[in-house]
Amino acid sequence: MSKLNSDRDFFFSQTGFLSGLALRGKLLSVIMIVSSCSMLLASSVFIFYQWYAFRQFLAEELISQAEIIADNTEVSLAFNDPKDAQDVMESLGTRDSIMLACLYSSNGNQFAAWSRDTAMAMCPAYSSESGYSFENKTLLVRRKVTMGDQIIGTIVIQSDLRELNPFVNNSIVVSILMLLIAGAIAFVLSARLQALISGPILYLAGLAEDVSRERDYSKRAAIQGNDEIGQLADGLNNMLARIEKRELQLRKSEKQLRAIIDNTSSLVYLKDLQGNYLMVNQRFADLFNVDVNDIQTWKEQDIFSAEEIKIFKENDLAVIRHEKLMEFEEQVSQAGGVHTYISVKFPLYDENAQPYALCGISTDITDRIEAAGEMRQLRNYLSNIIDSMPSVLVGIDPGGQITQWNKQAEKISGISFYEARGRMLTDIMPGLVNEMDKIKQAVRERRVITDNRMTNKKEEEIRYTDMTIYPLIANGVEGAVILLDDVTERVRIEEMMVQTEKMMSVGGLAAGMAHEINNPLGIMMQSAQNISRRVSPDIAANVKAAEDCGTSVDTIHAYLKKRMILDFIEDIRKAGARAAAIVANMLQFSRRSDSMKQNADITELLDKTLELAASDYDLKKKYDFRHIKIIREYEPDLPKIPMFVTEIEQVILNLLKNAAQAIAESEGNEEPLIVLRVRRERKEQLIRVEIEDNGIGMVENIRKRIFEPFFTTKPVGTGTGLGLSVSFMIITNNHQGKINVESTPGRGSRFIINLPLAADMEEKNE
Amino acid sequence: MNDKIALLIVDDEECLVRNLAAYFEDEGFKIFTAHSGEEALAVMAENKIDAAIVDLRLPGINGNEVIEQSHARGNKVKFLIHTGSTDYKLPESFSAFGLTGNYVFLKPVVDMARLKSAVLQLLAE
Ligand SMILES: Nc1ncnc2c1ncn2[C@@H]1O[C@H](COP(=O)(O)OP(=O)(O)OP(=O)(O)O)[C@@H](O)[C@H]1O
Ligand SMILES: [Mg+2]
Repeated sequence: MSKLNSDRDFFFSQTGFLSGLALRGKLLSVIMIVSSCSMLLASSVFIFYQWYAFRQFLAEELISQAEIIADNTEVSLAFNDPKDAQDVMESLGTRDSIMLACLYSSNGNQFAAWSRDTAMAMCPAYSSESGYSFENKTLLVRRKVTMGDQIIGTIVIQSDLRELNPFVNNSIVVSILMLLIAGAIAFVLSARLQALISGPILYLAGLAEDVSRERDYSKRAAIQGNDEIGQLADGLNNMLARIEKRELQLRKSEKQLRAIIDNTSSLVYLKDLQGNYLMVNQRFADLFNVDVNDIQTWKEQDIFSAEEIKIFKENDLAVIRHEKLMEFEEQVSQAGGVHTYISVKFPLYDENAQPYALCGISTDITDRIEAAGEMRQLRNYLSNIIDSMPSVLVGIDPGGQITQWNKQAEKISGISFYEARGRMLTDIMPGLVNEMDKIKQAVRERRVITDNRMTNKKEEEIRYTDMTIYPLIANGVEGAVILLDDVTERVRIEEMMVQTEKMMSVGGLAAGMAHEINNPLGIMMQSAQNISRRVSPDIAANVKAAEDCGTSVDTIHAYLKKRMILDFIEDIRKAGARAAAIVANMLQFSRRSDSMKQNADITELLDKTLELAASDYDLKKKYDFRHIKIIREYEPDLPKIPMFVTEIEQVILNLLKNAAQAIAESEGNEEPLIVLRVRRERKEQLIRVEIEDNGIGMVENIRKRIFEPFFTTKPVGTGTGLGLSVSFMIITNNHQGKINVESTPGRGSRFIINLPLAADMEEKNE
Repeated sequence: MNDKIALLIVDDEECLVRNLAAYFEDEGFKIFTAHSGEEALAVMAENKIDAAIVDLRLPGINGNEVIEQSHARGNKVKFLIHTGSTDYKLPESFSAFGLTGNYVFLKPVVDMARLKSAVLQLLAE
């Protein structure tokens, strides 16, 4: 078998000697080889047979010759006449091929002999056998010579085979001729006939080539028949049909895939291990303005910066090295700024499970990052707002458990969010027990409910709280947010404003009546002054008038003094002055806008007012600036500020007097001290003036009320209680500033005034 | 007695005029009085007046007009304003006659010495 195989292989294998030939040549060669071989074999047999038959013929001819000689030499032998035998045998010379003839007697002795070439003559050994044999390219015939039944001798004739050779040669020539003729006919015929077989095969081969070249799987072989070629054609057609179907499916699924790849919002690309792009999707091409079909026409460097390429390469290498899907955040600067992508990259394997390429899918997450950033910012912003709001903010779920608890809530309650979370609101804020119904109502009716001015007593003091309940209805979050504002301060201020309002209407009234009151007041006090003067011995006219009346000024004076008339007059004057001061102060409550503000140096004004206060010391009112140490802390180079100078002077004077009075009241004050501070608050664009004393200070309940009109702790007649309320009016209303106070009982007070800088001053500072 | 300062006191309130007159007489001034603007202008026309303390709200022409007309007539009288109107606004033009805010007095003037020093200061200018 193996031998057969190897033979077949030799002929038909792709490397055998026929392999180089086309099918037609192969067929022709096969036919020629086969026919040549069979003809060669036939002619060989033919030649051999010719040769053999001719030899037989030669032998029989020689035998008959020998018989003739035997007959003719019978007598010679019988009469023992060798001469006669010799003559008979001489006749053999007529035949060229006979070389030797020998006659033996029956006893085996040579009786007579003839040879063509005497020199060579050599009779073979005697044998009584008869027959023929071929020896040494000669034919040897033995024949018994008989007389009756008695054998009397033996004749031997030797002949060469010269007649055989031409005959054989002729046969060979004929054979060759036949061979050639037959070969030619076979060639011509087979050359024609092989097309019967090779034609369809070549057609199929051509079809196969066409199909593979044109990739047109719709072609079909047009051959029918039940032979193997017909089957082959059928098989090919079936195969083509199947391939066509597969191809269609493949193309469809490829189209689908391509559509998906091209229409995804992500960038999809394939790169080989050297980093060359093998494929990119439409989106990639559109974004970077490259040709999606002609990958070779552009380079990575055309699209990305060296820095970007370096990072991509590192990431790609990591994927190849770890042979697994990996995710990276990659940044690409493109039209519209730097964008951030989340890139999923994974290796692609060939059929030997070796990675040959890398696929990347990059999704632009810039917006998402921004949105997340904004979200985070918003959340921080919101929690900042919630935490920095001065209100208590509490979130509760529908069951009344705390879910939100801001900084102010922590501060007011002293309970941290951590502790408060999950606990019942009513446990932590028992004051709200009565409000639970309202909270439930707000959640149920989905509306905001407010409850203003809830009162509660804290350390013997009434505090006011505003409560607002916001039901949570958005996004399925249930519950409520409760906002609690301590409005005590505001309520007080409002109350004060009401009073101020009242005072202003009083002021308006006062302004209208001032003329009518001031005139009589003037008359009253000037009359009092004239009375004092005209009873005084110091004025010459008095002396004369007294003498005219028969008395002396001194007497009159002594009398008036004795009867305390002078004191009464002084009382009239003082009462008048007080009334005048009240009217003047009340006038402060009336709004005025006529006179112009002037730019003035506040520190200069402070110093001037301090001088004024010091010269105005009043032992009766129990203050004395001479014993008070004054410390000035003025920031240098302060800008001037617009103000009504006399009004600010009045404010400062009152503050200084109050301070001096507070110091006077603090018994055992070793080191009476007033500190005057002025500095500029650049951020708020204002000048801050502080007047600080180390007097008796104020308890909270007094501190809260000092700006109220007519609130005073001083004995009747000493203070009107208008000083600070007028100051408040002047600072807040007339100067758009602020005035407030910090105080510790027993240690002192600090009044703080903020006055805004001029508008143009602000601009200059910017 | 020729060097006495001639002072005109103008006010519709008799008591006020009397008080101021008494004070300034005692202080050695020569006093003229008027109870209306028209009267004041007449007094100034007939006498040589050095200074005048003028109320604003007067029957007839008011204090401002008295001052204006007096100056319009070429009188060299120096004026002080003594008024009960808290919202009085000094006309800018008066500064030309040396009449500034320093010489505006709101009633009541508790110590008339202030008026006297102001008159002296005004005349010294
Ligand atoms: N520096 C201070 N130290 C302590 N208490 C002060 C100080 N300043 C003001 N007060 C308190 O504020 C009250 C109100 O002061 P305000 O200046 O309004 O009126 P007054 O000083 O009593 O009267 P007036 O100012 O009319 O003479 C004072 O009676 C005093 O009790
Ligand atoms: Mg005071």
